[in-house]
Amino acid sequence: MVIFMKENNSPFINVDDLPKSELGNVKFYAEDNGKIIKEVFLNCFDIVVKNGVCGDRRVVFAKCDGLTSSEKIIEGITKPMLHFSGDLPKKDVLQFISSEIICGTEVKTEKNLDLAIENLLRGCVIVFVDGVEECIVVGMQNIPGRSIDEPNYEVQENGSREGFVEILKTNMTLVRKRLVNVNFKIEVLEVGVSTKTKVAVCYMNGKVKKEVLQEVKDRLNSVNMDTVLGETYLRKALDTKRRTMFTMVGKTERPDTLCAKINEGKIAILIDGTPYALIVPRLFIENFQTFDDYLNRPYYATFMRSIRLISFIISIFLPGIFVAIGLFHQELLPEKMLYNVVVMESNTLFTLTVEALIIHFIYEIVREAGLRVPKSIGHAVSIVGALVIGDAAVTAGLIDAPMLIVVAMTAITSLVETDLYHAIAVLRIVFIIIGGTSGFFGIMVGVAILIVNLSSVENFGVYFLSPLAPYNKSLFRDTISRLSMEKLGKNIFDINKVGEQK
Amino acid sequence: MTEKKVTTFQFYSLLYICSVVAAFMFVSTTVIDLGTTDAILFPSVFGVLSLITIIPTFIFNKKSNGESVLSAISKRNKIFSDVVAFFYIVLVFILLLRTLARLDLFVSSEVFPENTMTFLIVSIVIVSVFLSLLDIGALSRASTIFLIMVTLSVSVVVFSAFSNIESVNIVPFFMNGETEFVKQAFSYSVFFPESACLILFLSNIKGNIKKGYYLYILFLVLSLTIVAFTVVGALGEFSNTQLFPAFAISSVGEFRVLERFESIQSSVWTVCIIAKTTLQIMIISNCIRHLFPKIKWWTPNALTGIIATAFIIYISNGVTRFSFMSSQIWVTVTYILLVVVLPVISLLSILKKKRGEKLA
Amino acid sequence: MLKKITLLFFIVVTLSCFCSCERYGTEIEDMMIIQGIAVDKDKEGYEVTIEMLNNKQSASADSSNVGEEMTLCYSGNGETVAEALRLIINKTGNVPTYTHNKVIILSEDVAKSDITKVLDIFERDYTTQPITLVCIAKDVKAGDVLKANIGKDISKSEVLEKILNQSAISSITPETRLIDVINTVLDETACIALPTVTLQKNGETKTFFVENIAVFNYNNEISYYLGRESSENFVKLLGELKNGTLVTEDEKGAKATFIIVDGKTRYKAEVNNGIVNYNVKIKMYCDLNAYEGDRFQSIENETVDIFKKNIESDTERRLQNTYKAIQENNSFDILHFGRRLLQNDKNSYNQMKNDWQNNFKKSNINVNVEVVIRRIGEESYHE
Repeated sequence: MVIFMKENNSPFINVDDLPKSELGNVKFYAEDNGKIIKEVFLNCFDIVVKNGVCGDRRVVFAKCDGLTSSEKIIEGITKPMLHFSGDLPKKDVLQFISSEIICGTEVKTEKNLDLAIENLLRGCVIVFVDGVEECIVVGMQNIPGRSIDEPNYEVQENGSREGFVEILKTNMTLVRKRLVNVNFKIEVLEVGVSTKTKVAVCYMNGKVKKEVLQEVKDRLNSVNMDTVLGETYLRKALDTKRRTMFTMVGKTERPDTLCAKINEGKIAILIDGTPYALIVPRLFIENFQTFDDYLNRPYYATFMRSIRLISFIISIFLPGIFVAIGLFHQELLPEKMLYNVVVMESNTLFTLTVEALIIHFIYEIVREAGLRVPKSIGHAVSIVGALVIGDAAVTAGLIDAPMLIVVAMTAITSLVETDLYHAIAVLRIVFIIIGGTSGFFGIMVGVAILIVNLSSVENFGVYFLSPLAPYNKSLFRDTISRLSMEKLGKNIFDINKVGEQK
Repeated sequence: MTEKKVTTFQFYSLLYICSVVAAFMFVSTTVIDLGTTDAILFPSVFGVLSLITIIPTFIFNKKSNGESVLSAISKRNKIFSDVVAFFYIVLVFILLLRTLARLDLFVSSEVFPENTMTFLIVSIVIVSVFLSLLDIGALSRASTIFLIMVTLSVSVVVFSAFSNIESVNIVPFFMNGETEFVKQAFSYSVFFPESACLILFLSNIKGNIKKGYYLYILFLVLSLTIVAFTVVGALGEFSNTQLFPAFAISSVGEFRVLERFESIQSSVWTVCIIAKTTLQIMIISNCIRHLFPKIKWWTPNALTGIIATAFIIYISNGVTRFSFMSSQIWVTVTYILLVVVLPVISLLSILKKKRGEKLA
Repeated sequence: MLKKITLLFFIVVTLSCFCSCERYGTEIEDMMIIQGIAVDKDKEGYEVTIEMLNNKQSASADSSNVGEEMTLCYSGNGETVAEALRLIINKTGNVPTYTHNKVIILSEDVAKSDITKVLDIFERDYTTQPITLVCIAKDVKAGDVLKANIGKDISKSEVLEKILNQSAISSITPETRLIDVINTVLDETACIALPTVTLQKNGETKTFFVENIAVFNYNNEISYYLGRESSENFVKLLGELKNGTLVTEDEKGAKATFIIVDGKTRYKAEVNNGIVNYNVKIKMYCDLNAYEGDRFQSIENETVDIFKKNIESDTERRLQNTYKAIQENNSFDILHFGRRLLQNDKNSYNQMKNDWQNNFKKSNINVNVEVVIRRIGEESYHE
């Protein structure tokens, strides 16, 4: 593969075809390096290459416009270098420039041109100097990004209002400032062939098993993807290998939650470019816990957690159970209720199962539409949903009022655990079908499969259903019920103890 | 030796739910009189019997250093271990058939009367085969959750029926004489052969096996006694006219929120039945794998499922075949072979070999 | 392979759902939700009347259908009860379910032969609750009880169930659930006693009236009736005393009404020379409800004592009389006194049970009533 036009005369270089480190070392003449960069970044408006003279040598500056701060560059690099009138030393010229002339905190030298270009794309300024087969890399980043904001999806009653942003460094700072501890470690890896996304593995040294940490790193390194643009790209690699509808990888956009989890001995993964952090391993019970629980009084926290668990159960099973009762187990209903249901049901067109399926599909469609449309149209969608489903469908005899109440209940309860929504939405439909085919009998068969499946799920040596199954008495104190902080303080939740039995 | 994955608590909760379901769905009133006060004492007799019959297993555990029966014997005598495995296959298969037959009878007479249940029974078998492909650990862990469901449902039944207990139904003990009592208590006990599973899974269990077993028996006897007391007190002689006497309590009990809750009860028992069949298929396929080590990993389970389904469809079509399946003589023979004879023979075989080694 | 099996299973389940959803289940509006069943004799066999919920009535919000009844009655004839019940499907087109059945009403004709033949279907059928109430229609066809016009938008079975339950709580009639009837039949020494229901005129409409008790013989055939007072005494002897009222007089003849708040009954049976002696101890807790003294005058402590003694002696006498009446009238043991003997003396019971009717006739009773007056509605102490 040839790069230089001189030999090939072709104006185009196919950068995609370039294997890594094809460009080799930095060239002897600064201008050659400048040309190479221009060739590599052909048709790239944002890459700026500028020639100049520093002392008795020609120099070339290269930067990526927008990722760097122009004033800082002028003040720290170009002005002092171009204004330098003395003689540069024959030896160690780069060291001289970086220590005596340039004003910057992040300065290093780089021999490999590929790595230099990579740094250029990360917002560094590269300075080539004639006569040296090395270049200076100066960190002058000013990467644009959102300022720290309140989390959108993990809304809390109490506690911090800070949420993660898209910039890895900011996120690391947000965590670091909360965990002032020498044992808190952050290791940075790179994943994604094209995107070279930086991924930070955060953990508390001494609280994490070495094998688990190594496995996390191995799994991250084994990600063989071209692009990694969000946390979901890494989820597959970190998740359990068992087939299940639930995930064992947690997600948070709150630094305080993350710190708490790290302190429990879990491993957090911050990914550049996304305001979410991943946490492994995640237990089933964590879906029902929020950071708020620790800021409220224990009795209320226990109450709210039970409410969440009950909502989860309702959101999955209620429509299925309703259909099963209507078709198979009418004896369950007290008489007055049965009478009302019978009277209303006799006015509808479809059978109970079909009715339940139709209205759930409609609900999912309305929900999806409301999620994707711009906020300004969102109201229109909700009005249509409310009118069509709520009123017209009942009047037209498509569905009946009891079914509508059931759907409304399930819709609201399923919003309590947003993390479990995917599983809930699908399981609900499955249980409607089972309930309509074989009543409670079938539903219980489904429950048995679900529970056995859940208890077989395991990730990084931790079972999904722990500390319930396997049961651990000391850890069970902070699951559905939460004891007071004093009592918990003696025996803080430790993920490594989960598998152990007394 | 396989990894020890299951704790004693998990394993015994699995055994518990497998046993307690028998009290509700298996014990038949053809031989046993559940209407008299004697029935309250039957569980205690069963408890004593279980404590005696488990002794060979405990000694076996000590002598084999926690190895399961088949691998421990096969190290000393391969052919003999094959024979033992074969017996286990046959006996547990009979248990499996009985479980499915009772489920069929239960579903077709209580849950969905006037329907043939082939489709649902087949789906139960498929589900059990599927679950048996997972390891014993998953099933045992799941049983700790099933245990909560079962305990809740039993308590609801008992509490709801407590107000219906009538003094007229309580008569003096040993109405029909002591010999009859012993005979009936034994007939009652043989419906619970679950403790035989212990010797097969010794290598999988970690923790204090003995202590766990005592607690398991205590808890089981206690709950069976409470159930029996409720049956006697609330139903009286009426229980002898019922196909599933313990289940009938729920139809007498009053529960404010719901009109009746038999269907909820029956669905909880369905879960137990699934756990039970899964455990049985697991045992059978493990034994088949011991006989034919080169067999594909899922074949024994599927094979067991298919054969069991074929049998059960045959049984399902005639009431006399049901009674043959749950006839007392069959139940007693399988119980004695599984719980007494096989563990004793296995123990003797390794003891004999050990003595032989010492002499040599 | 496993994947394929799972996929196949899933396809089968899904298809079976969409193609034969209602293979096992029945749509709720297609059910015949039976509220009450009445059984009469006819020439060939039985005539069965059912009261079911009116499924076709629209929601009450819809004003066009206001005139429709809440329940409907249908009758069917057949050689057996089961057949007659099945034939009602031809009239309604709905599938019967007995789960919400509240009462089973048997006519006198039916009760004149063995009632276990009629009740067998309800014992065998799983969907019938064993706590369904059983009663006898007296002087009226059982079907007419269910068809009676007692007012609009009322479920007659529900009303009858309430009356029967309430009269059991007030200790007027015994509680007679299906399970009690079956247990009595299975007890070889005991006989069935069932409350009766009659219809009374109440202007244009009619009302139910539950008062008497029908006594059955050992062949489970109706034999005679107990009047109202005897019924109340019978319930007290049976040990089912819960609530009730008592009327007594003071020394001047002023009447006082007491409410029984709670009652406890204890039995002791002894056998002397082949004769069973029963000691029945009844403890009643009573509150004074009304006193017809002069001008709301207050009650002296001595008067309370007089009330107490009067009630005790009066009740003892009445209970003993009722016991004798039951003994003299063919001595059918509707009091379960055979069972009481068994609880006290197993061996004697085994000797006597074969000729229990005779032994019951020879037995003696000694009733001991203790009354505790808890409240009289004012301070009990007066200077």
